[in-house]
Amino acid sequence: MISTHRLGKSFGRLEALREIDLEVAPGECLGVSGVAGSGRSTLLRLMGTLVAPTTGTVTVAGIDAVADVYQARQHMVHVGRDLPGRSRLSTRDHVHAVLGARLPRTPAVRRRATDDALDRAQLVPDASVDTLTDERRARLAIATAFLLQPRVLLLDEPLQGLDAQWHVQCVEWLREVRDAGTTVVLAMGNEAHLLPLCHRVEHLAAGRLVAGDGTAGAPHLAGRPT
Amino acid sequence: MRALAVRDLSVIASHPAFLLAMCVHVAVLAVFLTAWSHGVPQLPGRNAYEQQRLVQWTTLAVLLPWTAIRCLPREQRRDVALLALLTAVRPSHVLLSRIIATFLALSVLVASGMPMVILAQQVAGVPLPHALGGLMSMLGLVALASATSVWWNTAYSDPVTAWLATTGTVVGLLVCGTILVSPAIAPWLFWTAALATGVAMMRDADVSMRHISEEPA
Repeated sequence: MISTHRLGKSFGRLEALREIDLEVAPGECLGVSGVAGSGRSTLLRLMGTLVAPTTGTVTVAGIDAVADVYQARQHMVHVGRDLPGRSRLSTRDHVHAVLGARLPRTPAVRRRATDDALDRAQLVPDASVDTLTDERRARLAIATAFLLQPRVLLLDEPLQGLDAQWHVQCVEWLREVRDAGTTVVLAMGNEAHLLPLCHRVEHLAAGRLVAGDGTAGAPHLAGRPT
Repeated sequence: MRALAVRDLSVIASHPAFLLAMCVHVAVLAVFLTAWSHGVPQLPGRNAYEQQRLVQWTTLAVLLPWTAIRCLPREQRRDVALLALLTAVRPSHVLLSRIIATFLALSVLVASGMPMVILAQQVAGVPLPHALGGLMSMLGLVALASATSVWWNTAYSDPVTAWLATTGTVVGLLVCGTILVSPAIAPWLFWTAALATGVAMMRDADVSMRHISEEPA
């Protein structure tokens, strides 16, 4: 569903990623782990077309995501720390507009789906997006992404910054999304909650994939995600 | 794209400054008519309708850029790129939606002065189609204000700079069009300038806003 071939990224002299070859099958949940600065977020940003790679290619649903960025984006959603701001919209209107732009549904259906998602994310529909705390903005981003039901979901440390009480609910929601057939790529720091969701975990160190059996860091999971 | 236009339209229309601008517009036209009926101000060889039209053009040249910049979402290039990413829409379509939304909102602002324009038309005994045609020609100014305000609003994070740049562009072209060229041709000049601005902005957007700024994650 999503793959990278010899993917690399340099920021001036800094080589953030080198020669990354990854293949994620449809419906698979891949965890990408590594210490801070190992290139996890950069990898997801490259896969999500937020930034252009210096070398290599990204393919999403058979589309060259480097050459045809806009077509590739139709199939995926990236959730990270980059959120558009200062729109003066309420959370409901924000989600409603995104949903309307992505999925052509009737306004009534969109409105209902939006309210359900906001309710599940425990967000006030009439609250202004601009005045939300970082924690609530993160929740809003996750709820929006889940609601969009993309074929590929890229989550960059989704639990980071969230209240501990919301971790379990987020993981449960993510499990439902994964079980519905969405291909998921998760960048993880020390987020033990997320490990049970992954079919496979890849390790990054200093911008390179570390050779392993694909389950390193979660050997107890080998091929048995829950 | 329609969803994004509706999004921007709701942001603009719900801003208190939009209502304020409509009130100011109507008030200026009403005050002028009241003052004119008392004999001031008088321009020789011009009837009430023509004089009010002059006042309306001058007022809107300042009011339209102010309203647009005040009410538009404060989203710069990076925000547009992120919105395009989230909605899986081309950045050019995000900006086009914004221009359309601004155009619709500012058209409502112009239309709010219609009762006063019709009153002046009645006082001066000008045929109604002529007055309506005059109002339609103002849409050129609206298009110009919409395109340039979205351009400068995206380019500058400081709203005052964006407002000054938009006002400068609109007033500059208004003076060029009506004084240096011809009042009859001016609306077409505005439409051409608006179209050129929109096309240039959209062509640039799909290239320069394809990705967000290059910084290590």
